[in-house]
Amino acid sequence: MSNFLKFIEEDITAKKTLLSTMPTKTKRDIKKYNEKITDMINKYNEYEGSVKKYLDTKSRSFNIKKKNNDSEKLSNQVNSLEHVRFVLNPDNTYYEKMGFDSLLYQISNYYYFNFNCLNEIINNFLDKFELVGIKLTGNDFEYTCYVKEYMTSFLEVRYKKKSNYEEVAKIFEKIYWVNPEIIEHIELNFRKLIKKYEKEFNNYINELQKKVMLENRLNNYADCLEKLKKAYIKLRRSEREDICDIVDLAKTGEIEINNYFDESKFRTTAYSSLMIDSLNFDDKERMTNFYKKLEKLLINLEEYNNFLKFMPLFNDFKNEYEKQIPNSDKDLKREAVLKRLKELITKINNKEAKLEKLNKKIFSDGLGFFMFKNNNTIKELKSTSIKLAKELYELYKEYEQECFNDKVLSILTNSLTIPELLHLYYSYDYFKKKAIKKVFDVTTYDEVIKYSEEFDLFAMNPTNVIIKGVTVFEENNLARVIMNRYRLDNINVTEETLSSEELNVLIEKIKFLLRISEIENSATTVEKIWFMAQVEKFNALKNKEK
Amino acid sequence: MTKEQKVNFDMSTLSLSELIKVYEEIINFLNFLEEKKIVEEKVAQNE
Repeated sequence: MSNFLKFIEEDITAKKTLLSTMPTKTKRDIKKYNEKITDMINKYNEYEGSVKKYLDTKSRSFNIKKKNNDSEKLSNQVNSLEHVRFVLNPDNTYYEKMGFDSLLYQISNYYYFNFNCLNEIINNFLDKFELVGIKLTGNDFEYTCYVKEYMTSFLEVRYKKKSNYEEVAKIFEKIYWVNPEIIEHIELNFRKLIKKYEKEFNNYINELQKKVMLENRLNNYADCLEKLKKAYIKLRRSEREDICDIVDLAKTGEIEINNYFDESKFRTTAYSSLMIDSLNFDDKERMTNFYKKLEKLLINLEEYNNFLKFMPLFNDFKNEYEKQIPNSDKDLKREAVLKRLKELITKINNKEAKLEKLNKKIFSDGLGFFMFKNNNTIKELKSTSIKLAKELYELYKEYEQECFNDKVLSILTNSLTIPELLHLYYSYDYFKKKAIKKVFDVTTYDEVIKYSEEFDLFAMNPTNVIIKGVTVFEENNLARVIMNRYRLDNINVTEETLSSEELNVLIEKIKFLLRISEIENSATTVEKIWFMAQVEKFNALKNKEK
Repeated sequence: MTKEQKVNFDMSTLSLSELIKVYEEIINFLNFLEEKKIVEEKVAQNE
């Protein structure tokens, strides 16, 4: 038999004809008919097994070994330098560098969490104090009598390294119905302690900065940024989609490999829609140049996509601060904010001193003699302390907002750029998350975190190019800038294809053409990839049957 | 030896698309055969 396919086709036709002519009226007929079918099934199962084995072997012979391009190592290097940048960020104090702003955001949004998560947040606070050599005790938590009661039991569990917080939960439950603001008060207590141990935290950060600079051979923050940029470029190069990735995408069905064949209409349309003047595909030099420009465009579009995504955040900032742009009185405005900050700090200190005095009276009740005689007085004192704590909570919020306003004012001009604004929000996690929550109208904590992480990835990227000169307060048409730039290179991008609705289609189209180029420059062919994908489909079907 | 047992399994002469087609033909035929089987109990009941 010279052609196995021909044999199979003819054999199947013959067998189907045979079956159609077999009688099936009597039990005996049916028995014979079924026996015939069973014979055929046995024979064809043999064929199936042999052909499948051949297909698998052939498919495996087309596999391409993934080059080790050190992606993991480069990714670790970027992460490590990101951490160094975070520690060296000149716009932040120990407060952000110790991660307190992030923890305070979490605890002030406690209603998103369950009891276990809340304990984790408290433990994270305590970890940070221990990191700088401070082991807090129940006596450090005297903000209110309820905070003391709760934290004393909490610390007992923590220091005995018990994992069961059931007893603590019972105490929480008991306190909560008397004092529902207990978590806010725990937050206030931590805020006070963070202030109290400022010197220790600063010393720790200073030492950490020296250590990371030495380890990474850096002299300063600018050095770190330069090194980070180089690491990012290397990482991006190593993560560039290669032929192995394309084969995997075809195998998993994430790309439709049929579109990649020369004669595919999808392919022809993709080329013609992206070229202003059609190029001769045999002109290697011009085609290589075309693909190089596409690659650059793709990187720019990914950045532009992020820009569009966070546009509502930029607009919100614009609405909030446009009227506050100082003309010539910048220093005066900042002075006013600094004055307000001083006032707030004084108010906070005075109220905390008052609260401390009150608490002393309340706690002396523990010695015994106060309780029976003055039960009502104690009740009154407790109620006053709660009222004071409430006022302090508001004062801290105001203080924090004014601190941020001061940071904003320090950079606020008509020419404030998007990268400067990205850096501002990247540096102030608390306000970034607050703005995200407001602007994107997100309802869950996880959503806030997701946006925040995406924002950080965008803001941290030192290879951002197209947003470099974009200002926050002036009208910009970034789409037109990109369009004009690439039309000069014979790439057909329009304002319409760059709109937020169409952008992903354009990005996918560019990726598609770049994959064609990658396949053409590789040792494999579209047909071989298609074959591997088909075999993979058969395997998936077989696995499903099992 | 029957005629079928003499089938030459040399598939190296087939192109990649032909190889896939052969396999699909076999699988489809196997499915066809499974569907064509007559359940004997049902027939007995009808009789």
